[in-house]
Amino acid sequence: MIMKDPYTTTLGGFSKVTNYLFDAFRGPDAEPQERPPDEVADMLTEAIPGLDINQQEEPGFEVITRVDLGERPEVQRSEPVTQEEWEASVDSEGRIRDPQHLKNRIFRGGLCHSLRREVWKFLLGFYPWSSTQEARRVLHRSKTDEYFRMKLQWKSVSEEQEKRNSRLRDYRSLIEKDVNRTDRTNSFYEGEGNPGLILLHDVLMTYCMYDFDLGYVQGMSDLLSPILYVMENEVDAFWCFTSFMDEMHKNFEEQMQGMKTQLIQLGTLLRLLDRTFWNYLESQDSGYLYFCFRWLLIRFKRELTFLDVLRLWEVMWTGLPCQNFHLLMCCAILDSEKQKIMDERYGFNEILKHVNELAMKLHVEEILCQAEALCLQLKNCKVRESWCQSCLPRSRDPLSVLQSAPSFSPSRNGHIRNGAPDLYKLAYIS
Amino acid sequence: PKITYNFLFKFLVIGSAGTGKSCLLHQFIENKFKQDSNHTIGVEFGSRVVNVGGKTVKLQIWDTAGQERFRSVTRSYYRGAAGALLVYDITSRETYNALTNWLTDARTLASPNIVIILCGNKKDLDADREVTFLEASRFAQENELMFLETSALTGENVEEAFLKCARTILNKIESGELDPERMGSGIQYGDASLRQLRQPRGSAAQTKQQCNC
Repeated sequence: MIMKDPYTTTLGGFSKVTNYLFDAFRGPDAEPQERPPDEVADMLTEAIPGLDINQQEEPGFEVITRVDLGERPEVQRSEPVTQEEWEASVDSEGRIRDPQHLKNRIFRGGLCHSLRREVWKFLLGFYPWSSTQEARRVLHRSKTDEYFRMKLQWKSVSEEQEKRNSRLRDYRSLIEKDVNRTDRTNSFYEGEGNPGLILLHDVLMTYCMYDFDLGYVQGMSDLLSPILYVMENEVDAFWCFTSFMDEMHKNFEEQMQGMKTQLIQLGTLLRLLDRTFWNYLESQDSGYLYFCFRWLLIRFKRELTFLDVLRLWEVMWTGLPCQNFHLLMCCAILDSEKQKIMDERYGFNEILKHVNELAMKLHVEEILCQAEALCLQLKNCKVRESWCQSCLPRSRDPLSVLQSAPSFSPSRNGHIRNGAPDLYKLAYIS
Repeated sequence: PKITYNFLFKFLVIGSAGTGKSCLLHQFIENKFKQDSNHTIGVEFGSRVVNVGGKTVKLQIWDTAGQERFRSVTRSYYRGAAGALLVYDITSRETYNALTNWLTDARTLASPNIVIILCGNKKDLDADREVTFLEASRFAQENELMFLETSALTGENVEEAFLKCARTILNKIESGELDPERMGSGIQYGDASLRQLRQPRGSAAQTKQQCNC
């Protein structure tokens, strides 16, 4: 939903502040409306009592200086869902009795490893929660046929044909390169001629046939590897991977629109959570948050140990406690690093280096606790309405955030800079 | 204690996916081959202080993802680079064919004066060679690039490539062809130089930009 004039046309549907925040997600072409600063300040005070409005004489100066976020609550995690718990939640025909309760449990504690192969298929939507054992057997058979039909498509391309198909050739060549350097220290993929490598390759090639427009983009092998490790079966891994890719697709598309949108949304959250740190990042030319690029593109796959990635992903796939929870994870990590970054006066280079070097030093349970605490804190704060609707909508559709995103056209030099002037509008008008 | 240096140069390592960019950087910084290395997502960073022609130079090196798709992100790191290693794989003609695009990017986005060395990597895989030395050296000559064949595996010519690029930049500074004080030159004075210069022009700004990494 893109709004041309947030001050006049859309007041009916959203609160004033919501419109105001929406401004941050508009395209670069939309110019802010001229409004006297005091009028805007009045409007804001009226809408969000927790905001401090600082009216500067100089036009264009920031007007929001502080949002009262309140106390950050303590969050406890629990033990993983056990075999017994799972068995008790399935009825005699194989339906899951109370999917919502189960998702809450998975969000809170994750799954014990032996359950993953089965439960991930539900979490990723390969199997409907309400399906019977019998229905799943039928579904599995038809999905198996469908997989092998697509696999045969690339398998049967002759060398001569491939010479005339540069896109397929490029996909294949990049997949071969990347399969050789994905998780090679993991026992499932290590050594020469490991069958795991062939499966990884075959599923990625088949995905090219499933979605030839997207094909293969670097990062996808990182998303598939843990799924294949858990499934140990190319058909199941493929269908679970396609579900995960449905959510991640926009990040990998030609213009990487999903990445641009997420980096802007992350900026909005960071600014809301800690204005001082945000200002520091901007002063170091780091407001585009490119240092979070890898976190977002492959959902922390390179930042955590392999087993922690399995835990993180199953928690994320519950869709709880809000949309875009992974953005709050970014905020949680940065929250614990911000003091060091500012105290040591890290610049553009050092921020990137520091963030890259956090890889494998982060602890998943700790981050999940902090991110959930941030979520609760934001839900309780006075600007709840606005952030909920703009950054972390509570809708059931996981893509709603992306759908409400503006379309950007990259500027001449390819910078993702376009979002930045609009970001400012969040806090500075006239 | 902080190592003092005369100059700081910003370098890029660019080229198609799978040519060995990260391994070249790793070999240069750690002096060993990076086994089981992952493909780069986004941008990575490394630095090393070297001695070139009696001067201490800190090289700040940006290593970028190779796939075309990521260029919109990686290109934002090009700004103000003084030198670049432009890498292809001698066993892959497609990586050689892509050189022109990379070259255009580097010259338009970094700086028209950027000093570039072409690196034909994986020299150790001579049996699988698809690009001859002669052909690549002609390309280098036509495009005013320096050229070396390197091996990140054995380390052959890796140090040379970085040093050769640094030396050329230094020569250009000394001959006046490059002005370190021009915006976006990718060159900064280090504290050692500032002390020597005693009365450096715009020293406040330069000191502020120094960093520990």
